[in-house]
Amino acid sequence: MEAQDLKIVGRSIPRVDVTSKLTGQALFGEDVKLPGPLLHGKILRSPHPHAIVKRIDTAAAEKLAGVKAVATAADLPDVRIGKNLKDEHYFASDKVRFVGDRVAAVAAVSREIAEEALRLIEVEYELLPALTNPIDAMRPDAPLVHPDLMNYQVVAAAQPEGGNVCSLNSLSRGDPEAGFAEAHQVFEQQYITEMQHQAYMEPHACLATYNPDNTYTVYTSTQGIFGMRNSVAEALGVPQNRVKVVGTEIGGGFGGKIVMKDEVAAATLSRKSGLPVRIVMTRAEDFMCGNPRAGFYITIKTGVSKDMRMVARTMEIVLDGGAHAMGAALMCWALPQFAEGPYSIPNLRVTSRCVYTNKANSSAFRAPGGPQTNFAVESETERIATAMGWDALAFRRKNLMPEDHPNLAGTPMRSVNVEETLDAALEISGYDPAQTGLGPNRARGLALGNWNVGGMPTGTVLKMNDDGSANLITGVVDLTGVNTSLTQVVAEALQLPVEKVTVKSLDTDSAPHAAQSAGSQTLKSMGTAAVQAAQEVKQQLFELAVEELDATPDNMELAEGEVRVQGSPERTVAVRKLLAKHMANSGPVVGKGGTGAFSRMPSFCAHIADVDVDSETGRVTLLRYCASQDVGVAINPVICIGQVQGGVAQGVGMALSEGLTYQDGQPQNTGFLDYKIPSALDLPMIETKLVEKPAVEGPFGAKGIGEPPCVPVPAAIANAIYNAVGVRVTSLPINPEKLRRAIKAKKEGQASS
Amino acid sequence: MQNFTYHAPASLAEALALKNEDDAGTRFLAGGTDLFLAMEFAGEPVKTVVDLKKIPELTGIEELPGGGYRLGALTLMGQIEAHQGLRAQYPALVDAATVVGGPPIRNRATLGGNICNASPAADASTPLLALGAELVAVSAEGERSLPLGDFWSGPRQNALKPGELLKEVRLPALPEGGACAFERLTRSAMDIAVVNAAAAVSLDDAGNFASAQAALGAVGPVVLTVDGLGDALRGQPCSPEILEQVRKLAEAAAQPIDDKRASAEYRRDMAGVLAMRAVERAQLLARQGKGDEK
Amino acid sequence: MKSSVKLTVNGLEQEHQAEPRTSLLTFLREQCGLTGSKRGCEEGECGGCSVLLDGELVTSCLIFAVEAQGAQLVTVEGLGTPHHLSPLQEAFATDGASQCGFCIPGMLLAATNLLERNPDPNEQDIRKAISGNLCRCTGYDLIVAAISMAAELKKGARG
Repeated sequence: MEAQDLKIVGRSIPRVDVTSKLTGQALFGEDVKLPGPLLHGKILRSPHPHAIVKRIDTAAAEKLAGVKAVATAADLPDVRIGKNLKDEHYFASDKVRFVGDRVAAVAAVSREIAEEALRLIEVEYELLPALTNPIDAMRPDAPLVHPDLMNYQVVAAAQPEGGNVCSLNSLSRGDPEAGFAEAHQVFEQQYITEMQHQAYMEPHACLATYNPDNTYTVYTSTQGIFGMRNSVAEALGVPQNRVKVVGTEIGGGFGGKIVMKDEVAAATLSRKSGLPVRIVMTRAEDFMCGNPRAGFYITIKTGVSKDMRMVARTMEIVLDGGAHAMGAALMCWALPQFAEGPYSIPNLRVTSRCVYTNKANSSAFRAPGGPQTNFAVESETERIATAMGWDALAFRRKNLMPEDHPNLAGTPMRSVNVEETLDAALEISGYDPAQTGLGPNRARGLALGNWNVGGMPTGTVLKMNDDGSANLITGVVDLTGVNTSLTQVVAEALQLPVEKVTVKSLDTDSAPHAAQSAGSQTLKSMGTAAVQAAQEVKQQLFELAVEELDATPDNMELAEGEVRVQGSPERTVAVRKLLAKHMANSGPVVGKGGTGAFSRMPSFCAHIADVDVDSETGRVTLLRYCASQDVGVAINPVICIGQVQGGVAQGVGMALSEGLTYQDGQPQNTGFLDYKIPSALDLPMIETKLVEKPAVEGPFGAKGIGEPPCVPVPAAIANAIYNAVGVRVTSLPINPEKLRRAIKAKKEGQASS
Repeated sequence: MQNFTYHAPASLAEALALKNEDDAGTRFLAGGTDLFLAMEFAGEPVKTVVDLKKIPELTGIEELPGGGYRLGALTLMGQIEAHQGLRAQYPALVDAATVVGGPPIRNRATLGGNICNASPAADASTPLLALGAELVAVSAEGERSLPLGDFWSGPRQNALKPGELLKEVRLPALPEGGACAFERLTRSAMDIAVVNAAAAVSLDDAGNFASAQAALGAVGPVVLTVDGLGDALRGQPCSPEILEQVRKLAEAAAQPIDDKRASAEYRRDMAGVLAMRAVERAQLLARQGKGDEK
Repeated sequence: MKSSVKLTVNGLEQEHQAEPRTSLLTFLREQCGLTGSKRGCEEGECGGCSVLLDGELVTSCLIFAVEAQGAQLVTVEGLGTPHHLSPLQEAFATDGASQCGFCIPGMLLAATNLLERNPDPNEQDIRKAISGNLCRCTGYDLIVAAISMAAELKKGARG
């Protein structure tokens, strides 16, 4: 379909959920109400980063007035769980492996009594040395977080290497060593990033009931109800049909609400007590037990030719995986497929290792692995250009990936709009590579970014009502406005006004399987399925209209509640009439759609940050920020713009202030007082340009866009800082103290030389 | 949080009597922004909470007859922020009050609570110390006043005696030709100070320093005075060399420690930078003030 | 241990039994059944629980319910109804200011409070007014724009 034909796709209609959210009616995880009394659950979590659990005594807690149930590992099947590698007991039974590891749970009539009961549970620990750094964890004499690693069952993605390395992946093309040997110049540098927490505004919250028919209902704030259901069923040891997961409104996820949290504890406590149990994490618990972005140690080596080409590169990446192989292990597998960035390098090898440490379980956070590798790649682009005396923009253009460029996994990259995206950012910002300075200690910095968006198996059902309106039934969580975009997609496909389309996210008992809302693929996958379902509906209507219109289905079209013969607008039949006929003959008109996995396709972005550096304190102020984003087709432009700006804000946090820090395995910043996410006063307006060029796949040519905008931010800011004060900081976050130290070191170096 | 008994007396006498019944187990409640967290997270054993917000003697911002201001202990940060008289005379205090948390916190947090909480990083305390504020404490025995500099003995430790309550803060008038300024360094906009500094200076007719005092926050167990500043600056112009001396004195006064927010080394370094900036800006304001008179 | 706490929320009198340690936020959510005010951190850092207490913007997580005895409160549920949104809510809807929506109740109250005091705020005024309200989804741009638009709408309605 041509872009100009679109009537509803491309409009910024208000989000379908907006009124409930603006009036306080939307029910988030903690807001779910059930009739009758409910219990408050609390989790006893390990205070130690690494210890053997020798004994747990819950007797005193059970006797406390108001306590209705206590749960430990003894209440669950003795199985190891995990989506990549089965390496976790839901309740610690042998060891605890990070501060916050789940040991026991209590349900009581009030939060305060539950908290008091936790203090009455006696646990005897034998302390073990803790690993807080993956480099230390790779030493041959390092203590083992999982001594049985090599006996664990591998489910997907993870490829254990042994020691503390729970996953290893390496892909290559050409011969990087030969490339370095022939290169005109070779550069090498290490880049380090810290764990970054998603810091969604809503902490994890769930409510579970054990029902009289021996089933469980779990209400939870999750990005994916089916993944959650499967995890809960696995840990409880029951078939999946006996667990119903209802996704609540979700107060932000960004990848942090995929892994199961306290749902199984709530379900177990409900089974034992006979009452619904709600468990809400405190903010400190959420920081302690969340699934942050992994910290990376990246050694990047690049060979360049005299004519500005990157001829060879190796990237050795070590991921701080935390205590269990969660999303970081999956990322470890995926990294070599996209670490090349927006470029094409003939001799390339990317090796990634996910390493256990005694820290929170690293998992997915918006563009997992993207900002970390991009920080190395785009910092190097500028560092190399500066050293070689090249125009960094020309250097980039010379090495951009072409259409159909195969990634390291051999998948051709299609709809490569990188050049257009770069040009759009240059245009809105007025960037001039020869003039990046903006005055004393002020400058701008550029970085390109990309994220390869795949697709996940997803199905949907489209039900036609008697009056011609339509309901789309999905099991997808409306995380980023997807139900609004789906409304537009279905309305467009059926040529209905948006008021006649309702999209509802239902529970796991009611909806077909849907992928989690993550990885920027939600609309791409579900939208594709919805378009298919609409095609099926149309096909059913057209076949019924053959008799009325005396035409073949392939000559028909839908418009204004009628089926028409193309080119003969007078030959029509009302959709309502066809629906009634279908109902009488063979029941309701229902379309179904589904997709399998898509291959990964790139979405690009280009960012330009203008900064001011206080060279005496090291404090960086963002003066201006410009971002362009390759979107394919913007189904709902305002939603797209919101995604870009929000992604930039999270990237700014990663660049300048965010990082989970640990001292001897103890988390140091488990609240917003010390984990600094950007406030309204930390950000300038983010000037955003959507670059539209329909993609070869995705509904109406829409690309996935949620992840990319956080990718190039740290590099763009680091490059701006370099241009402002001549200091290249190679670790994140670039907080004032770190930058001040670097500026001082440079001055002292100059003074002594 | 442990449960407790709550009282909201309408008179000072009643509040003091309640405190005297069980001094150790009783806490006064002002804005509550620190106390609530202390009771929730630090598990402070509080049996009785005496809410002071209904006591009129503890409120109000008034100019004193001989110059200077009286600020009731329950004065909100937001009230200081919005007070034109204070803004004209004590911009250092107003600027500091304006960065204590976000607006909802400033509508609740009180000056007296902030002082009594005795955090070395309390933003409003630094300008008060530089400005030479006096405190008035009250007990069943009567009132006594003491210099702010004598009030803190360590983090979360103040000089109130059993049964005593902080009633008000008295700010002396700035000397003729005086001005003050506040500087703060944080990791991001909404943050606790990594270091803060305030300076109060006055200039003589030649434009040289006549007096100078400065204070530093978050670089020691309590908010600290920069000793020797007045003597070093008196009669001197505001030259780069003199500012360098301010930096050295501030660095010498600082007693920082390493913590999760910053290293001791960085804090000492920044104490020097911020003290210098505060003195320089106060001096500029004083100069502008003099200029206005002409 | 419990005592009666009586206050007015969104024009309706509410009287419930509460322990002294019960926060105003918990009182609103669990006793009054008004779950629009959000528990985001319980440390006064995120602003999700912001309400207007006798006309002042406060974080209800750091206030004991007993402290609000007799007070007038406005929560997000009192700003407008689904059929009759306030101008500010309208602006948030049309500008796409709400993403996940969890910070929105607090944002709306901070913005309501701002526009009551300053009908013509500039960008910096708006940023300061919402600086105690964290948002992780939007980068604040569309929120700032919506508040600015609401100010324009209100001016238009007056003029």
